[in-house]
Amino acid sequence: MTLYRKELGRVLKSLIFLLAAAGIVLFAYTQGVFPPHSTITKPEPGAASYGTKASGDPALIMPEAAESLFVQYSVNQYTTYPSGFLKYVKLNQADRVKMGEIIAELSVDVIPDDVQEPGDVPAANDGTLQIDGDSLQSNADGSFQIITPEGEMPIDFAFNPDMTWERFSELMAQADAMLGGGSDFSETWMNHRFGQIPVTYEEALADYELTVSHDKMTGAHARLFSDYMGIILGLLPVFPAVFLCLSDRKNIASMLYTRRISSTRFILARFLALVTAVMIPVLIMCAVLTGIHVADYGLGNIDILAYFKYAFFWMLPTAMASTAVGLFFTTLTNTPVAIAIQLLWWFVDTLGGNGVYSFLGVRTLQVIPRHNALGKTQAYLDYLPDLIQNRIWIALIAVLLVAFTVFVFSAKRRGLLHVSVFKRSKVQSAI
Amino acid sequence: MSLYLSVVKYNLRFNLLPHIAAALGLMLLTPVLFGITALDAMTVAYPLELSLPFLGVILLTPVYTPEQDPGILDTVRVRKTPHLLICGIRIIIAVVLMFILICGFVLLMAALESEVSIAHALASYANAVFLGGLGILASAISGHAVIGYMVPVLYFVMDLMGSLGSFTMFSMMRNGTMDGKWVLFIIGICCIAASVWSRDIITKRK
Repeated sequence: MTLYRKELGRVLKSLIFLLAAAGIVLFAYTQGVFPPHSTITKPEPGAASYGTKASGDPALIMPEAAESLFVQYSVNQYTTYPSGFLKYVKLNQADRVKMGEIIAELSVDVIPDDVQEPGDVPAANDGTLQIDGDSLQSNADGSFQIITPEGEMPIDFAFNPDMTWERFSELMAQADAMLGGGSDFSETWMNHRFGQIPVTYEEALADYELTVSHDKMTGAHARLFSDYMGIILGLLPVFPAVFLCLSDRKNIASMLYTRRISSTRFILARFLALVTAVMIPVLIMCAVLTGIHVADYGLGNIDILAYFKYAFFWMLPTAMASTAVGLFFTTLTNTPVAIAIQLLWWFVDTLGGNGVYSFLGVRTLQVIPRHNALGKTQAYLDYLPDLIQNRIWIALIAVLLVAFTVFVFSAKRRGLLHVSVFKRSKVQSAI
Repeated sequence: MSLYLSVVKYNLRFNLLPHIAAALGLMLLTPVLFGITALDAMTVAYPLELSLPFLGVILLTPVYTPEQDPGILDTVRVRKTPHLLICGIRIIIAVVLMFILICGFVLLMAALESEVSIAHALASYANAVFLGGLGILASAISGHAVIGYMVPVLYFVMDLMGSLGSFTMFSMMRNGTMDGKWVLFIIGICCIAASVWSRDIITKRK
């Protein structure tokens, strides 16, 4: 406990912690969650829109997805997110022919015989069907039409109504595999991307009532707060961790190695101190926000502990993970490489999925769960089991990294481990 | 002249090697993450604005790191060659390397049929100088490279998740324009100059 207090004091007095704390608060302010920019209001009947939701209805998903595939096939540019980032894929001629066969099966006379057969490659244009944006027109019945130059026959696309969901899923899986995965046509994406339907007034009202009864207002606000705080807590805690470990290397590494304290106690105390420090500004904001909501909704109408529950359940594992990455890789290499590793993880995690996971679910190893909405309580309750599993996994990864850190630190103390990153540079182990 | 060449040689050998390796690592990772083949004028902005600007953070931020240990700084101060001259040469190497790497990357994109021009390369370079400038200034003032890494990363995240108006780094991605790139470039250069100045004050005070 004494060691924990000492380490905590060291972190709290460091310039990097003050900057990180200021960064966390500034980020919350710029994102409009501290103070909150919106309040929960009861939906009024007759509003123009209450938003949209995924229908999950194959009858709606299939035509939309097929048309989208056709449009992307027509310009030979496919939107994918294989590693979370937007990536446009162009198919080579062989794959393009295969994709043409998929399109042919999805459509009713997609390309008339006298224009182009799948696999029939006209020599004049090297087999590619080149259409610019102005040449595509959406018809009233939902089909697409390619406007060809004057005197030539237009090519229509109409979805084959006899297509079964099973066969459609198989074809789309083939198309997704051909595109390298992560396309709009993968099973996960398709259900969210296509077949969206409007939310009705009754549904919006039911969601509001659930927010009042289940979330007691502050739960919904805390979720939105957690959504944004996760983004910053998934990255910033790595900096104080790296800073602290590199400071040891400069000043006291050799003294630390010879102390009687066990490696486990020392690393645990350091880890807990770092996590406590980064959670302090978050907890202070939670307290202030709770006070603001007491003024807005009244003490009796809110869950006074909601922000703190979300801080520990939602945000803490994220902060633990980024702190553990900082501790482990800095102890191992004595370089700031942990920053690059955490930044990469953050990048892939945050930009991964192009927002489709916002209040629609959570991946198993997603370090930053998203719920970018005030409310949507039913959606939250639907993915809650996955979220609990995810938070446990992320916390376990953090614990595992801390255990590895103890092992590495212990080995270094005994002179059993020397990781030389660049022997000829000055960036090398202190041993 | 031989002195300068000697500084460049030893700097490459003892200081820059890991950072050049990290920069090359970033350049190898970028096509894997974003794809750089046959991109149109709008989508080329993704690798150029999201990824390549980190070259500035990687190469510029650690310029003062070797002498941030007080003992080493004392040794350097008594040397005949001015410490700031050494730092100046390091900065020039870093900005030239950044330019070469970004232009090389843009040329590669052009060879892979992406719609890129010299303007795209300069816009990406402006972002890199800006982020690197923030990093080197924060590192010079705080005396620690990790703080120098944190400040530009924080700026990047805040701009990416919201928008910092006229000071946004992502004008190509968001609007398809080069708006504000000159401002960012000038701020970056000013930050680099301010870092040298602050380093000079710190060196003389100690």
